[in-house]
Amino acid sequence: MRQHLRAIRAATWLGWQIESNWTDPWLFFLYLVLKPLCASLLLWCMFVAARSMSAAVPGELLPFLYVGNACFMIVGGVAFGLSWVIISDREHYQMLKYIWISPLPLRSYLIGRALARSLQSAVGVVLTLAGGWLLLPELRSALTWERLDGRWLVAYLAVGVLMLGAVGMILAGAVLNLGRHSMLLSEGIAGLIYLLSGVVFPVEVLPEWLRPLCFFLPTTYWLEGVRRALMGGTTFGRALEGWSHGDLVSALLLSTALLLVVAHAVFRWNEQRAWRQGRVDQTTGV
Amino acid sequence: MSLLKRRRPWIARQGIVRLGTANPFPLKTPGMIEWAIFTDRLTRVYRRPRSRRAAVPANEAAKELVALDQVSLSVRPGELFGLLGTNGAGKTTLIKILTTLLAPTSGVARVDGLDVVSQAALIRPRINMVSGGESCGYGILTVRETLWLFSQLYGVSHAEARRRIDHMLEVVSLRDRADTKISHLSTGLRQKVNFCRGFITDPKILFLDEPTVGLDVTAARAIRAFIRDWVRERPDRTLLLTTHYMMEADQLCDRVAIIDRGRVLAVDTPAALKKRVQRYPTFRICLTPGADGWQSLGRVPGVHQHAVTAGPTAIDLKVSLEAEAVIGDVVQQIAGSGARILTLHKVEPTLEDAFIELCGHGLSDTEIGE
Repeated sequence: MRQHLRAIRAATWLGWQIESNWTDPWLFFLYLVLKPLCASLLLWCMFVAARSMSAAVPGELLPFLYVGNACFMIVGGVAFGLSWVIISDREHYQMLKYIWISPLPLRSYLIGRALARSLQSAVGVVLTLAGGWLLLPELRSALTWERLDGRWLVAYLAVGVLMLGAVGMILAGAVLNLGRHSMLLSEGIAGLIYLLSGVVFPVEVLPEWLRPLCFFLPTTYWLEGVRRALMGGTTFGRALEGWSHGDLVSALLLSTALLLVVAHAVFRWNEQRAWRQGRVDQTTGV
Repeated sequence: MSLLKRRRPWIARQGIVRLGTANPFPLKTPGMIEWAIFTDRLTRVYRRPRSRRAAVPANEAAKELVALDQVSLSVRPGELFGLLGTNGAGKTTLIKILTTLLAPTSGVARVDGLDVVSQAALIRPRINMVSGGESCGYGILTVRETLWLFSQLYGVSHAEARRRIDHMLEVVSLRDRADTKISHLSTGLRQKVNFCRGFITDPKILFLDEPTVGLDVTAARAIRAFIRDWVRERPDRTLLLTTHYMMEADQLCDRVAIIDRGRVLAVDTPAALKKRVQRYPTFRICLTPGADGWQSLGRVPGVHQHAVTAGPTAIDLKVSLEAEAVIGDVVQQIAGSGARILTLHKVEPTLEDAFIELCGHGLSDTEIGE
C-alpha cells in the first residue's frame, strides 16, 4: 500500500511538472491568472452587453455565471483533462506503454495525474474569483466572508473531486480505444455538461424536455452546492430552490456513487479492450 | 466471457479468462524446468481496418494479418536470448505480448512461470522493457527526474534509486547531463536514457527491442558490454533482445531465434546456426599473379568446388572441400605446380549467411507492415 501511494505521489508530481514546468515560473503564473480571468471577463462583457439591451437581465446573474464559470474550470481540468493525459502520454511522449507495464495500475497513475490537475484547476479558480472580486463590484457584494460556508464548501469539493475523477476515468477509458481525434469526444461532452449543468444560466431556462437530463448530471448539484457555499444560501437559479445543503450533498453522493461504479466497469472494460486490440501504444497522429 | 470465447477460443477453453483470475492449470510440474520465458503455439492476429485494406495490394488485402503464427519458444533463466528478423517479422509483437502490453489471440505465453493473460499484474514487477529509437520520457523532465520517476513507479527506495541512477548514468557516460531536460538531448542521448530506464528497476527479465539503434559505435559497444555483464552478474537475470545487427546478436546472445513472417524458423546458438549454413569447409587462398597451379585443383580428391578471381596483383582462389583435412593436398598441389601462396585462411560463415539461408532473403530485403 505504501509503495502504491508513493507511486501515486510520483504520478501527481509528474502531472504538476507537465502542467507547470513548461515555462518560467512568472510566465506560468501569468498564464494561470490571465487565461481563466480573461475567459471569465468575456462573460462579464456579454453580461454588460445583454443588460444594456434589456433591463430584464437581472444583476444577480453576474455573480451566478462568473462563479459557475470559474468552478467549471475544475470540471474541465479534471474530468476532461484525463483524456488528454492518455492522448499525450500515448501519442506525444509515447510513455503510456511503459506506465502500462509498470506494477502501478493505470487507474492509480491516472488518479495521481487527476490530483495534479485538481490542484492546478483549484489554484486557477481561486485566482479567477480573486480577480473578479477585485474588478467587479457585483462580485464583491456576492462573495463575502459572512456568506462563505466553509464546511459545506469542503464537503462539496471533496465529493466533487471524486465525481469528476469518475467522469474523467470514463472518458479516459473511451479515449484509450480511440485515436487522437477522440479529444473531440471529450470536448463535445464538456460542451454538453457546460450547457446542462447550469454553469452560465439556470437550468429552468432550458427547454422542458432537456431538464430531466440536467437533474441526471451530478455536476448540476455540485455547481449549485459550491455556489451556495460561496455566496450564501440563495442563488439565482430557481430549479433547485427548495433544496437544502443536505439534499444537494445527498443527491451528489448518490449520483457520485453510481458514477463510480459505472466508471470502474467502463474503465476496466476499455482497458481490456485496448489490451486485446493493441491500442495501448498506438500512435494515430502526426 | 462470451467475447473472449469468440475471439480466443483456445484460451477460453483453458479457463484463462480475465486479468486477475487464477490460472487453474499448474505452471510447473515436479522435475520440470521453470522457463524464464515460455511460449507454446503463440499466435497473434491483427484485424486490418477496412480503410487500410484498400491501401495494400489485392493479394495482401486480407481482413486479418497474422503477426505471430504458432510461435513456440523456451528461454532458460540466466540466458541472453536474441530474436532476429526483418521489420514486421513479429519480434515486437512477441515482446508486446510477453510484457503484457498486448493480448495473444491464442496459445500460451508465460514469463517467469506466470501466464501473461491471467497473471499480468504479477509479471509486471519482475520485468521491464526498452524500445529503441523512440521517445524516452517526458521532455519537460531532466534525465535524473525521468529515471527517478520510473524508479518510484516500481517502488524503489529513494536511496537505492539515487545509487542506481548514478551507476547507470556512469555506464552510459551521461553523468554530466543528469540535470539536462530530455527535450534538450539528441536522439542518441535519449536512447541512452531509455536504456537506463530499463535497468533502473533491476528487473528479473528484461526485454530489449533494438537497444542500440541510433547510438554511436563507442556507446553501442559500452552498452553491449554492460548487457553482457548485467546478465552474468546474477544467474537469475534473463534478457531477451531483438536486433537488426547480426554482429550484435552474434556477440551477445547465448541462443538466437530466427523469426520471419511471424514464424520461428530456427532456434540455436549463433555458432550452431552458422554451422548449418556451411556444409563444406571453405578456404580462401591468395596466389602470386600469373600462377597456374590452381587449374588442376578440380582433380584433387575431396575438392568440392573452386572459384578463381584473377586480379593484377594477385589470384584469389575460393575452394570448398568435402573435409577440412583435404586442404593439405590442395596446398601441396599448388606448391607443386610452382605457384606461391601469399595468404591462406578459412572462410567462416556469418549469422547473416545463416539468416539468408533460412529466410531466403536478407534483413533489409523484406518489409512487412504490421
